[in-house]
Amino acid sequence: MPDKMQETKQDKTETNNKRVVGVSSLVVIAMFGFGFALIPLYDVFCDVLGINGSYQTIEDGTYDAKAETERALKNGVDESRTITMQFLVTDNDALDLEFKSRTKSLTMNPGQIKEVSYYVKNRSNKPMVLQAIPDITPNMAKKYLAKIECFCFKKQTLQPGEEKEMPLRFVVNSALPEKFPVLTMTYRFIDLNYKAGVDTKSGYLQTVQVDSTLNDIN
Amino acid sequence: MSDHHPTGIKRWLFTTNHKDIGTLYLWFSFTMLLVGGAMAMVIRAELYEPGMQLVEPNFFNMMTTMHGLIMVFGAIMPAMVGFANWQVPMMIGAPDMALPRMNNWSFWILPFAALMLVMPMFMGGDFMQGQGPAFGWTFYEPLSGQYNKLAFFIFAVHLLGFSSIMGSINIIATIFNMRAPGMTLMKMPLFVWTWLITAFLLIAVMPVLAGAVTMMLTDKYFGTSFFDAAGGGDPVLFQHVFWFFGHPEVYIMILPAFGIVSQIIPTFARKPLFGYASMVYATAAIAFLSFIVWAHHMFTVGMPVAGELYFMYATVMIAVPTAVKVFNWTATMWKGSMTFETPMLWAIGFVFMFTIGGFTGLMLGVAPTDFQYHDTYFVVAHFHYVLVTGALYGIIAGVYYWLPKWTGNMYSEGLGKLHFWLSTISVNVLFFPQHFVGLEGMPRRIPDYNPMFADWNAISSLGGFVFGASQILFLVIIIMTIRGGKKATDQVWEGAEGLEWTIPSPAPYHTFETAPEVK
Amino acid sequence: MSASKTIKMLSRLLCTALLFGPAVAFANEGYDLNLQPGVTEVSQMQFDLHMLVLWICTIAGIGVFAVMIYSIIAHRKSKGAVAAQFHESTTVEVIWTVIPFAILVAIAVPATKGLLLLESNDKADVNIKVTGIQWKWEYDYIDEDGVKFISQLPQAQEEARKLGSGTDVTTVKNYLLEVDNPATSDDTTDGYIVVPEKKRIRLLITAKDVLHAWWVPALGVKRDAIPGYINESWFYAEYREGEDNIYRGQCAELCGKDHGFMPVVVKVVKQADYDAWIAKQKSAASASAAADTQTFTMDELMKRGEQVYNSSCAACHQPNGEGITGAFPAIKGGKISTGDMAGHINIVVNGKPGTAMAAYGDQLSKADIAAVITFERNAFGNDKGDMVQPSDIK
Repeated sequence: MPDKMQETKQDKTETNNKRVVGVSSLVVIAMFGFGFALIPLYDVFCDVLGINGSYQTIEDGTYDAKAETERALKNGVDESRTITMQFLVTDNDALDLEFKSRTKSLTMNPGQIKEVSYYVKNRSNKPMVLQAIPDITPNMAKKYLAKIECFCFKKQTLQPGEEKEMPLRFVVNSALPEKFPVLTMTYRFIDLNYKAGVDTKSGYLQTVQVDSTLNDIN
Repeated sequence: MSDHHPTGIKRWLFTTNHKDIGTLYLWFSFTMLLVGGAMAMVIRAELYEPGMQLVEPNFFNMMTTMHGLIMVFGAIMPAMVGFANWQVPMMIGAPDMALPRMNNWSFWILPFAALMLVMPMFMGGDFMQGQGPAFGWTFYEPLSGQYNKLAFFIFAVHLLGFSSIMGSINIIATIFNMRAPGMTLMKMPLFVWTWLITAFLLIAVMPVLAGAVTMMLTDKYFGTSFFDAAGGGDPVLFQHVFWFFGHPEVYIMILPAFGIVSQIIPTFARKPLFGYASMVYATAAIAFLSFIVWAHHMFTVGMPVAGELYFMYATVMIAVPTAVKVFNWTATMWKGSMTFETPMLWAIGFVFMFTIGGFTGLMLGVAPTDFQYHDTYFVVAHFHYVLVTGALYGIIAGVYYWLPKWTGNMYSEGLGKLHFWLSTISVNVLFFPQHFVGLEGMPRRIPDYNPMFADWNAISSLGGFVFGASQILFLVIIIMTIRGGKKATDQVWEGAEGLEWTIPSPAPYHTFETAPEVK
Repeated sequence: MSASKTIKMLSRLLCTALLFGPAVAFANEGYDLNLQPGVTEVSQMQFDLHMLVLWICTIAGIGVFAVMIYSIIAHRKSKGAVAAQFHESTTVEVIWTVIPFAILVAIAVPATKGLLLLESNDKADVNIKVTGIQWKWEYDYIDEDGVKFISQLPQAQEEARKLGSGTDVTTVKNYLLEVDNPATSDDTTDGYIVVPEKKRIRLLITAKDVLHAWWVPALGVKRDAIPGYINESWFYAEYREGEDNIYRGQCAELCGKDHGFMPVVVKVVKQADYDAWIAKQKSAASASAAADTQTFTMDELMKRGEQVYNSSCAACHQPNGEGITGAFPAIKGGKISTGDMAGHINIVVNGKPGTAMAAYGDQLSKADIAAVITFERNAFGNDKGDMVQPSDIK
């Protein structure tokens, strides 16, 4: 009898062990997935908390220009004050690209629609499929800026040596808090072909599905 | 109850015995401590004087990187798992760990992981130019992405992760399923409690680290752009993911040390631990808070002000449960009947110096001033107070405390005390001046500096050399104790209470094959 | 080491050993031990907050340690102490949970105020775009056309800091805290960020390759430079009569091999001096543009090229052109430097993605690029004999 009791106890322990291993493994797998999920989650998180802007997003296909513009325009023009907009570009060392903003800065009333222009030239001997990535500082001001028309809305294909003037039309919501008198926008181009066949020597793979890359970062 | 077991190399390779595996973990960890310590000596030697005297800048960066990685993943964490293996079954009255074969596996992955981590140092071109990882233990992108042997590092981290996850699952299963009758959760020794909470932290965050390095791997070799800014990825996001792992990791290293100290102080004060329940709750609170404060490591990256405020408030909150712990230890000593054998000295050293590290931690948590402290030697001083005089002191205290039980012999009390005083004086000479150079404006991770930082660096290096040498004494003491010495009694310490002190010294190969009854 | 220095060090050692505790920080009048109050409102706020928290920690520490030390002395078995058996008190637990919490709230109030000041976004008078590049800084005064330059460790210090250079670095003035503009002759002040006094200066900080951090302690500014992002920070300083008004700092975020050799120097001047400086920068820019349309002789190119090589290339490819095996390819007999000229121009102008080789096309003038390529193809025994002119650089 004691033997039997011992055995059932052992069986029970084993079942319990299996349960712990099972549950723990599920936690481990879930947390591994969570690590990856953090990538899209940050955008969601920032949106919910209204601190959007810290993390760049490719605006291709995800930006509802019409709704954003309507929202930004509904407060009208605030003629009582002016704000300064600055337009910078950031170089991408990976690309042989000439990229500059034609307008460095302008002063305007919140609520006014303005247009500026950017210049880009493909200096390499390969075609480029470019996507512009925006950033803005102060980042809390991002939600007050609506882009009506922007070269960042779609991919830009540039043949070797091709140059382009690209417009950006935008409006700043006059609800913009007064503590943000200067907004600095910056654009940076990435080449959607960049990852495909970078350098075989250092171990990069040569053929890569470009589109899946884009999905990952979206 | 028999002591029969295989001998020779087979015993160690195929063992499923928790004591053998605990021993393996502890020796592995000691080896890594010496390797990582040797690297620290190179760092301190180069920083002894301004100007480059010994190594190339990249070799220096590799030393700081490898020192950090080896100490965190090779020395501190495995030592804690070693303690868990030896002590958890003996403390809860279990015959062994719940999953003994997995236990063997989780240890034997480690040496290979460590090998894979250090191997690139000896591969490729000129050794003196630093061929190993040199991007800091935090391996921030995009710098780490520039490293041409990144895959070695990534797979080493994967293996280390596997090892700790399996170890943790085993510990959880053991604590949940193997307790002796009557050993309710709230009767468990505090060391067991801290390890249970640590194990939960480990299975929650090690997979996140594994995910992060996997994304680095695909960024580098398979054309994705999670973190690669050149492809539209986000390097700041890497830091968020890293510190989501990294901050709980800090507590993974310190919580078991809390547990060890909470065993030792009552023993030598001959008085029960003050506020047992509040200690358990404080540990759980610290573990919980560790998940929601990560971005205090990145106040300067340009977060929105709201985010900075939140992370500042949440961070300074950690001071509350931590203070409760320190107060409880103090109250345990209060009106006790204290003696100061070596383990008690190390435990008291821990409480004092960990508290200093806690105070500087509070200072760092205050965001506006962190803009000055961030990435300076002030931070280096802070985390070495927490990890060396905190986690490592806890480990050393634990070794002296349980060594008589493990070996059946008493260590040399005179040498043990010499070890303590040598270490404690030198460790303060080593790390305290680093607060000053940090405040003066010396950034961390630099191989050379302006002569205005020279005096304190020289002092710090001298302290470092003495502290490093003192640990050789530790090795000598351990070997002497294993070989012989005064026989230990079963209870070993007059004030010791708990199941592990009811079995003979040295602890037989198999213990508690019949579960004890806990009242 | 002189005798007096040894004594000073020993006394400090003693001081550390005996008085360890923040107490030491208050004992010294100099800024040897403590944070500096700096010269801006933000740095002063940081200093005050630092002192507040330090004092709170010191007092709390003294309190806790005093109790422990008293207990250690009084409650020892050798003195016949008998252990009490109390081990619980909810009242006590609540008290010592609430008190630290209250102290934290007291700290949080000024900390919040300070953070809002530090992160304020007011309109600035001067906007400077700061770009971190391995291992130098580029400054672009975005309101002033053509005022854009590179700032890096001067050549002389590059030599002094080399392993086995034989230089006693304690004799080098401002060792590792000095900068130079590599495009000009060795006038180190050309690498300084010059700003007018009593003006709000707004820094727009970014990076090209890896993370860097722009830090000047006296101005209270530290901000990460992140590729693809713009971070902003600001300062406002006054010209202090009788002082040099030069503030030095370093890169604070590990950025690779030469992270320790990436200083920052800011100089605050009066408005008139600032205007003159801007004018000078603009005329230098047009002179450089003129050089880009010139044709040079081989000797001119080699001479200019050697200078450019030493300031921009030698850190990685080594002064002898032999590179570092496994990390930085050799120029001497190198595949690119002795190969097709177009390929050589391409890698210098555009860099090589995924490696430390930066694109110099927008860091150096065309004349400098032409010169350095000519130099690389003809020095170190490469002797290709070909020549590159500024007009060859696209």
